Amino acid sequence: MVSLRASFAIVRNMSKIRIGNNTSFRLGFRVMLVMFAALTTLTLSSCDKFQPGIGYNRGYAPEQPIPFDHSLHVSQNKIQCQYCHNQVERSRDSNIPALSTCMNCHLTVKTDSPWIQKVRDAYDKKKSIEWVKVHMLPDHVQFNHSAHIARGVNCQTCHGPVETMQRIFQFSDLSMGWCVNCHRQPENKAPLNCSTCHN
Amino acid sequence: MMKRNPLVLGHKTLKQITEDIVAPVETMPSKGWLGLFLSAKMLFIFYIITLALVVSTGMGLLGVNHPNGWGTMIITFVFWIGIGHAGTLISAILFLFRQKWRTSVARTAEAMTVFAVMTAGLFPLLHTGRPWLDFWLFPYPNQRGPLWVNFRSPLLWDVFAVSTYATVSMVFWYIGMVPDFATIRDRAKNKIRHTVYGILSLGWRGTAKNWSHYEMLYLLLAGLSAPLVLSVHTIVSFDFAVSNLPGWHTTIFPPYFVAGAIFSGFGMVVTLMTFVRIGFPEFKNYITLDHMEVMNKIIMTTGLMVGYAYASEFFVAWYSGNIYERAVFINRALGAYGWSYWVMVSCNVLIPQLFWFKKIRRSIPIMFVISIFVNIGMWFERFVITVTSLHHDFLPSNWGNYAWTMYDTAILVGSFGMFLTLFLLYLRVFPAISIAEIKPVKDVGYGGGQH
Amino acid sequence: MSDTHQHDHDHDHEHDHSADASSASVPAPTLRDPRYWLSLEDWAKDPEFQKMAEKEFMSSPLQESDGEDGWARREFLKLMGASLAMASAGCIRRPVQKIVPYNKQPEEVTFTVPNLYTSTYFDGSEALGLLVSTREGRPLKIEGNPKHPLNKGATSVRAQAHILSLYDPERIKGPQRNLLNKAKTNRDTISAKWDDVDDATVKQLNKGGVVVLSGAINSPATRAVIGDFCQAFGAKHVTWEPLAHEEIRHGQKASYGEALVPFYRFDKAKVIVSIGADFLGTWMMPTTYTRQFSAGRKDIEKMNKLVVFDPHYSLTGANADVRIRIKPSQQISVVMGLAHEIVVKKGFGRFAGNASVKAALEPFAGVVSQLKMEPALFVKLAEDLIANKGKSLVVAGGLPTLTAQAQELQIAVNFLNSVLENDGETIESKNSLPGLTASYSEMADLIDSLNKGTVKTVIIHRTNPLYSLPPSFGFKDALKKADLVLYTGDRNDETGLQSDYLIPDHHPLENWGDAEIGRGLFSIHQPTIRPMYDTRSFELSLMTWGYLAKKGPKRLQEFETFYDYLRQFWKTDIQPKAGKGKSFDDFWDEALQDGVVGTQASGSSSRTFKTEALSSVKPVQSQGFELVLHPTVAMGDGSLANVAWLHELPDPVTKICWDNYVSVSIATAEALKLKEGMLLELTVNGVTKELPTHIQPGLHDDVLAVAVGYGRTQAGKVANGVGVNSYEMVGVKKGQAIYAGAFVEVKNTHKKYLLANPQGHHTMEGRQIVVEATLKEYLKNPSAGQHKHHIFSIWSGHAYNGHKWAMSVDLNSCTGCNACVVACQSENNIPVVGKKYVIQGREMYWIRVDRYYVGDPANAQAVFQPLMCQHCDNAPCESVCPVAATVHSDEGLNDMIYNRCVGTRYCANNCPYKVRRFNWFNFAKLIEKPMHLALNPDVTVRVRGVMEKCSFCVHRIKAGKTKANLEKRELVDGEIKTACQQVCPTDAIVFGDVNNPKSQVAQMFKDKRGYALLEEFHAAPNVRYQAKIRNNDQEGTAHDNKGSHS
Repeated sequence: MVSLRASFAIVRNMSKIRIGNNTSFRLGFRVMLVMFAALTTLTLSSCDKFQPGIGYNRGYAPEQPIPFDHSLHVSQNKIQCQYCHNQVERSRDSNIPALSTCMNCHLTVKTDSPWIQKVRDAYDKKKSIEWVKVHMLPDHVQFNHSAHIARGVNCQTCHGPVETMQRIFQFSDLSMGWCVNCHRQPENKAPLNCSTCHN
Repeated sequence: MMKRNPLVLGHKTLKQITEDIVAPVETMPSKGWLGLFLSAKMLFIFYIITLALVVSTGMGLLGVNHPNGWGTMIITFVFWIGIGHAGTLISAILFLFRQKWRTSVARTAEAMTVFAVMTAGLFPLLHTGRPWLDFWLFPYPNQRGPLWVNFRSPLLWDVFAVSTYATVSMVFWYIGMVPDFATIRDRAKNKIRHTVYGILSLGWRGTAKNWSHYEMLYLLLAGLSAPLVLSVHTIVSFDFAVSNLPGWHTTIFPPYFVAGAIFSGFGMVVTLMTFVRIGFPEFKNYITLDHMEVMNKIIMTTGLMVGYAYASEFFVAWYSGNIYERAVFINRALGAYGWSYWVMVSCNVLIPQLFWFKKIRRSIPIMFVISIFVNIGMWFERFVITVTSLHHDFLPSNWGNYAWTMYDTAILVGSFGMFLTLFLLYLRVFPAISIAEIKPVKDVGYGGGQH
Repeated sequence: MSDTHQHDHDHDHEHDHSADASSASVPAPTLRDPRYWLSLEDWAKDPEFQKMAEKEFMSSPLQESDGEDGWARREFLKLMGASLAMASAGCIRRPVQKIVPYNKQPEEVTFTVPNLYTSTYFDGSEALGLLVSTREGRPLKIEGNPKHPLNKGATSVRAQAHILSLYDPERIKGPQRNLLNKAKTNRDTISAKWDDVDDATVKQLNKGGVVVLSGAINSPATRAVIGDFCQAFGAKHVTWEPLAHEEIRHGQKASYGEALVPFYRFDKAKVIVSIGADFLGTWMMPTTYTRQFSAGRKDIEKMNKLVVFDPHYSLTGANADVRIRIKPSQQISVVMGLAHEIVVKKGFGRFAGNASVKAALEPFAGVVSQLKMEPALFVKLAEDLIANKGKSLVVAGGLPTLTAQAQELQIAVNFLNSVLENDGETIESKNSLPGLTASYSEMADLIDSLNKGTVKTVIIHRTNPLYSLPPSFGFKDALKKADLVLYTGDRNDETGLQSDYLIPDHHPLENWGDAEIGRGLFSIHQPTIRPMYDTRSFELSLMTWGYLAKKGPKRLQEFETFYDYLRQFWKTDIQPKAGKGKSFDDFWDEALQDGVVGTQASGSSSRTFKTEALSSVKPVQSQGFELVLHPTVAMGDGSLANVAWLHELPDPVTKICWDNYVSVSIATAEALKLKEGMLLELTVNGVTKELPTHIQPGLHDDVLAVAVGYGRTQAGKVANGVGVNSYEMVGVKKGQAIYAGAFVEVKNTHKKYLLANPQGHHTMEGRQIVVEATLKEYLKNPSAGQHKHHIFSIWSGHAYNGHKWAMSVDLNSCTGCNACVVACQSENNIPVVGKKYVIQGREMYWIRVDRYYVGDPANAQAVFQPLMCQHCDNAPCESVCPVAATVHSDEGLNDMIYNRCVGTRYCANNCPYKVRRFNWFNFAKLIEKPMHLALNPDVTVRVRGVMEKCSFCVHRIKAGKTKANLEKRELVDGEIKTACQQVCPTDAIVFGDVNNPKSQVAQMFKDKRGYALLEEFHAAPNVRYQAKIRNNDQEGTAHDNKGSHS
């Protein structure tokens, strides 16, 4: 102990001889600060997974080849969701209706509209319409529409007020947290096993 | 009070000491150093390429297979982590015990620790199947529910243990160097050197306030890192001990691993110190034969502890009456990998016993050779533990040998490239002995010591 | 079914890439970062990919269409998906994707819900009723048809695997022409047009001298077409298979006067004696016979007894209660020796007094001394047979019995069966197998007439003689004498190269057809996919030529498709036999619905044995090493050799894959200084071959056994150069091929060679792994052979309030046939890694069948143990995963979450059963298009660096639960079947919910024979095994593993 104290004493005397200038230190300190800040921003901005919400395409509302208006069909004309998305009760995937389904009505309804004519052409040419996909899950997630419908979950619970949407948009962020949050509610009695969605 | 040999030879004045120690930093490197450095650097680059290949192509390039899920990377990881221990032991624990002789070797031992841990730290990260997802190993708030890590997994404890150890030992090492940086800064002739060391010295002025703070901080850090010496390798040993493979599932592992770590650590210190003494003849006055001898004694002792561990493992295997345990240990000594077991025993237990003889303890060439044997032996210890337990477990249909490939060799050798590159750089840019601490003990052993 | 373009629509993103790909020209508006766009578009324009998108087909196999601009389905891109999953693990922005709905929705298609089509599989010897599961118009998985009376829902290894041959990238895409020069060696191949082919063919056919050479055909309709065709062009129909059952027909003719292949009833037999007939593995109809055999063992008190005189270590021998190793030359002695014991010594049966019989049997008085068995055992066997007269069965057959005396052996066997009054009881002659008409002698005749030049045109269908016919027959040169050779093969293989035209037949899964599996038992063969390429069914080819030549009966000419012909044929020919009193449409619908109509002919009665036949049966002299050629469970005759699944599948007995080899006994190996894998030079019938050695415990010292079906040269990337073509070692005698008994000279080359054997060690080292007891022990104590451990736990364990899934595996039923392994591979998208990586220990099987040898190595017995993830309640893997990628579900499953796994492999290390598999490389990426179409869309394709393992087919569990849920009902026990359970011909695997006390698995768990593997380890597995019982009159098992450990 003594010796250590002594040693510091000695060096202290020595350092008295020269005044250590600390300009260089300040300079260096600033440089380091700037570098650190740069690094942080880089890490954060480079991957939006770190920014809640971003990267989950909430509110994604791409323009569709045909400006199909859900509010018109659902609210105004009172067409049930399942009339068009008719496999949603049987299939894991809800289906976009076949053109034949559109033509059920539009052979007679609003045939003068250029959009309907476009559908008509495609239908006659045995072609199809390329809709832009709005709701996307990664392929390691297996969501089952039929199971949720059978449990009496409304379409709106996940897809939002579709009946009011003129252009369809992604209502929920569809993150895992969002799924699990609902499954966790005791009243839902939903399974919480990983294999429920992943296998 | 017993008479003891001087810690610093040749009646140095304070100024001489400063000059001796700072010399490597202030003079141009010798051809020898340059040669060493370049070859180490080549090896390092080769290492980086190998790792890149493994990460980009898949773990399959290495010999790991079914049933040997772990291999070279984990073995070498444990090996380097072990090496790391001597540094903290010397700098922290011996400091707390006021072992004056530590002062001249502490800095370099610590440097070794830091670099060893850096080398080791890469392995657990790169040996995963998808290293780009390693950040999942850390608990951080996320969008998955949130989804947390599995706190029951020893691997997770490892993540914390190793990162803590790395941080603390690095800080401890750096703080220790601050006054010396200041010294170099003040001696600096040109602007750049002045600036660089100025930054490193954190504006050290050598005022009384500086010193009292410094002293306290150093003491605290020493206290902080002392338990780490024990905890880190204990937790590393949990990776094996907590699992349930015959040959891994053993309560003796924690102390056994720590002893082994200190053993291998000192082995490496001796190896490096011999290099330093050759590289910088002036240092012979500071790192004296006495220093080397003390370390050799520690090697011998810990070697015995390790030997005891080996023996008790076998005893327990026999005494437990567990046929799986027995089979594994019989196979360990006599099976396909028996040779590696006997390499381990002879290097770690038998050869160090030569240190019973004072002559050998104090002979640089011999101790160098022995220390190399210790390094080899300790690598094989980890090989034996990892592979021989995995390749012969419960169901005979699973049994299979480790498919060693050239990539395993490349990784093992390359890791030394990384370590040596860093170490050689360190010798050139940092004061390899603590100026501030060596000065007080310069008179010890000359009767004039203040006791 | 409407005729529409099939546009897919689906919410999964790899699918949508495909759609995007096909529509990449029209950039859709997006709110997204344009940079990503470009890259995606670039990617989408990948020409490889575009090609795939064009190769699209119908949702319904029953309809044609113009097929252009189809959309790739989700499964097309499973691989892309895999790679993207990797990418998306980093951080990417969401790609813009397209959804392309149908124009008109085919009513039978519900997305993600499979359609099952009844069909049939025939491999030249065995026929199986199938259910082919298709998704959005593409077959994914072959299942057995549970309604089928013979295989009852089980399928064979090859039936499972032949789905890959549909997606084989090396199938030819249309008719081709081989430009052969005078020497018929030129190999320039150009593509041809159907019209040109037809013109050339018809021109040639009119010149006469036509022969249709085909493999065995069990389809009445196809036989009818060929018949009509032969009638039209005065052609001759020759059927030949490498694995023919001619010796049986000849034997039957000589003994009873009618050449037929009877139907055997192993289920009725209490004592079964097999001489070289591998009826559990490769002989005749193994799946059906395995079913029958195991049925006779389910009731253990009354279990049957199998005695096998084994010329090589066959799967049947491995399952024998008593196995005696013999060499081929001893086969006759064994049978006649038994006959002598029974008829002469014991004076049993109606031939007892017969002098000529006595004379014929006399030479075999002392055969026991030559056999490697104690005489007492032999006598006991004779007594057992007598005691079970009419309830016993003696069979011989298959390649290992094809010595120069094959027919005599059959006569001897028939004699013994007649003595024991089994004929008409366990041998049903009325119910003979119509398909098995292949004949070497017909082939020999064909070769003669070819050499004579009387045959001008040869049409070769479903057989590959230039590979599998022994060259000593000289078929190659003979074929060169023909003016026109047409080959219907799906690739330019060994025979294809020697043919003028390749006129590819549809793949069986693309084709209509039918089958008569047993007399009067008809099954339908439905297509499950629109033909992928420009192929034409063989039948339609014949019909077309008839039509063009204006020859042959009306029905040959009038129909435009074989489907119409088939329907007509069933109306006129099948309905009268199998569907009386129904309207044809009902009958037809029923046939399609059930896949099978009619019942097997019954009323077989015992026939009188012609004792004079016996006089031809003489003892055989043997000298030195004897060759035994045998087919393997995986390869069969080698026709499916380009299916990688079959090459990687370990042999049930040796466990070696990716090679054939010569098996030698331990003693012989020592004598010849052979080590495992060392190359051994065999010289037989003047042919010299070099094969790696496999040292086989329990093999007769004078036997050298080699598998056929390997050494293909023109089959494709997978098969070419794997192993050695041992057909070339076959000799010929009087138009018959000699597969066994030929004298072999051997030379040890001392060259090293690596055999791939995924099993590390072959004995149990006294550990309680496969528990075994003899019947005597079992009757005393049902838990015999088990050491019960005192188990205690400091933890209460999980609570399972709903279902708790569990599996029971009955080792007494399991025959180790490996069907489960392939079924699992097909169901769970398990990659093939290849020989190199099997050697390195990187195989990927989720379920494997461990085979251990027990007892004296020289005469080792075998036991089998299927091993899959045990889904432990105290799973060691779960606690050590740092990222919680493997976790326990509240239904007792051990969930493995691939997308969370970072690949530390700690779980695999900590698994005492070592059932976890790691993706060492990106194996999935190596799957070549269009083979990825066979990938199951319900199971994630794993990327590099993640751990995987058996999931108890969790996707099937989910599907089953959802189904029940939608139908608002409880799950029915047995409704959810795992892939391995579904395929198992012995019902050894039972899966279900143990929380339901009435479930079958809960019952099995109560079984006294039950035990958990490594029970003392207390991982508390949800898989339990039932001990194997050996009915061998011994007091104790060969291996004693009771309480040998704590």
